[in-house]
Amino acid sequence: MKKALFLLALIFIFFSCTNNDTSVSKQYNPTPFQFSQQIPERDFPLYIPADNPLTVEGVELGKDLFANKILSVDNELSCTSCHNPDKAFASNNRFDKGYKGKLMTKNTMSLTNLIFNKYFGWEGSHSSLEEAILSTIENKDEFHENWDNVIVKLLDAGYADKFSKAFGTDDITPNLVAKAIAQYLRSNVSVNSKFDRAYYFEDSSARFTPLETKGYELFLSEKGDCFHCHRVGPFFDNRFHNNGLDAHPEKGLAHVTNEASDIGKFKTGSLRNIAITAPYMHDGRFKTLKEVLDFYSDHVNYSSTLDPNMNHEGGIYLEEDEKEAIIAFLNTLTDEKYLKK
Amino acid sequence: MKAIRLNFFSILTILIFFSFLYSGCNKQKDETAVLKVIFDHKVKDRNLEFYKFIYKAKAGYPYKIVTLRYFNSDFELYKDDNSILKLDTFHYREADKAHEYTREMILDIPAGTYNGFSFIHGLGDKYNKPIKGTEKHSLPNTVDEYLDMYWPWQDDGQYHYMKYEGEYIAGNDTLSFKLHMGPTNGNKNYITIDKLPFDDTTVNPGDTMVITLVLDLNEFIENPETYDFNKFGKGIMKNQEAQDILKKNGKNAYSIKKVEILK
Ligand code: HEC
Ligand code: HEC
Repeated sequence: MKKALFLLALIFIFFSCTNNDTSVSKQYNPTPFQFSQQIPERDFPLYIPADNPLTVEGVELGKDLFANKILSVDNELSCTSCHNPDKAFASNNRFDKGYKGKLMTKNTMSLTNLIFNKYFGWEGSHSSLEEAILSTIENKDEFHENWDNVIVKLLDAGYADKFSKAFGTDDITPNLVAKAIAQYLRSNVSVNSKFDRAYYFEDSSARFTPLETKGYELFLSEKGDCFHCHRVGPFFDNRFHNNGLDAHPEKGLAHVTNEASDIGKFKTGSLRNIAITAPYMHDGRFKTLKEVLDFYSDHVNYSSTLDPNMNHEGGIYLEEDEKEAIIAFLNTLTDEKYLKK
Repeated sequence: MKAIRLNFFSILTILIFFSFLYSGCNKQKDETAVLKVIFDHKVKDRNLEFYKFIYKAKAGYPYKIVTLRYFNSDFELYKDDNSILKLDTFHYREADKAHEYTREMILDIPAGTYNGFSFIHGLGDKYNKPIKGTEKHSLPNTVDEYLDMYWPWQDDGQYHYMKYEGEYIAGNDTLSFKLHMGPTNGNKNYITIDKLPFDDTTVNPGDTMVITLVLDLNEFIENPETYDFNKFGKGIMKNQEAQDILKKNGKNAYSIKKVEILK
């Protein structure tokens, strides 16, 4: 019996030893990140890569880097220069200014709820958030910086310790910079609007007005037909569509896929916090939600890739009070608490 | 002495236990075969090709196909002894190009001799329960594509059964059609595909039986009733008359192209 116990102890020691050997350095002990709000699980698949789980330390470092001009050449720009934290990380300019004041050719996207996204960029240029971030920093028209410089600047500014806390290594690499920012962006979740409180959380103080109800019903009806692309929950669908902005559309998704059938298709924009992220569409062509509704109502252009969910006869022909109702509904998607953060 | 005896017995017990486990595993393995179902398509006598105006509807319109997504569920395999093997699962098929990964469904089945296959076009009751608030979906909520089949009238059910979309030409107009099937006004509206028979086929343990299904998309608009895109317009989700025609026509839309055994 004693022998058996001894043997057991030996085995135990052996395994605990090997365990010790393979574990990373002792100080690396990050705290798992908790979302500050409940995410109604049923409508929101989360996209978190296995090799980049959210940690408190990673999110904090990402937040710092996101607002830090150190990443750009001559310390000219930070992510927040265009992605304004007070505007759900969108921008109210049609086109923001990049390197040396050069105008961007697309409207700055809102960086909210990216944790629900599979593709990034209006044309779906990136299928991972980390990759999208790396490319922004390298982009000639945006940060224009090369990585060797970024890393030297970060080391000089004493970031080694922060990286060590977040990732268990003080060897700063482009991938770790992207990972930290990606963690921060994935932590930016906005699912606490009036709509959410009424629809998911059954909060009686968030009851819809008759106008908002009418708007929601139109949104969900086959007349308005918004829901087929702006799916209830995230209010986008992780897909690309040609919604008829132009009779001779830009390449859009075809830029990436080279397929003629993808011409004119762009990433469906999320409608969350839409009231405060004007102007609208990939080129910021509409200044107000009223202009957006006028477009969907009367100015939809036919081209051979126009989505079947769009009305091919010029639009869905809404009455003015119907447009008003849909806008009232869209306003219920503003998450005041998130914006105050 | 005592200790040795104990050791001897424990070793014996362990040996017996392991040999039992081993044969048990083996036995289970021995009986298991694999079913692979391939979901393919055609349009009358042509292959399915997207974004090409190469088809003609019986109602008189040239048409092209842009989107094809649908669910199947409640599969049943018919055995040679007239018993039925119920395969309690569902499958989502997205045939628009770049989504070929949904072409096959692979399941374990008992080895045996089979001669027929049936299923539901759409989702059976278990997979499409009415829900509200934060209640759980009937299907895993981790897949965007399932959630994209969102059906707004959730008192009837949660999902579209089918999104079959495209364009047709009527006179000078190029218009869109959307054959969106789903439960509406208390009608279930899924289609029960009756037994599609095939010759007695024996699948041995470890082997794979491959059933290639072919869904003829033209059937939905042609046989037995002519479905007129112009008459019903684009929005048919709550139009029971249109749903009824699709239901009736869809009943004969599937066939089995071949059944093969892969060793
Ligand atoms: C000069 C303005 C500008 C700066 C600075 C900028 N962005 Fe952007 N960002 C844009 C524009 C414009 C787009 C849309 C680009 C496109 O689709 O072609 C965009 C898109 C994105 C997207 C894709 C979002 C989605 O929903 O698909 C991500 C992620 C992103 N930016 C992250 C960042 C990060 C991280 C930084 C800082 C390292 C940054 N951006 C700095 C203008 C900017
Ligand atoms: C066929 C799919 C589809 C339908 C139907 C649809 N949308 Fe869109 N929506 C899109 C796409 C794609 C974009 C981005 C297009 C672009 O920028 O080129 C978009 C963009 C928007 C935007 C601007 C988003 C932003 O961040 O700039 C708003 C607002 C909007 N849609 C509202 C609606 C409303 C309201 C309806 C119903 C009346 C509707 N959409 C119907 C696909 C659709």
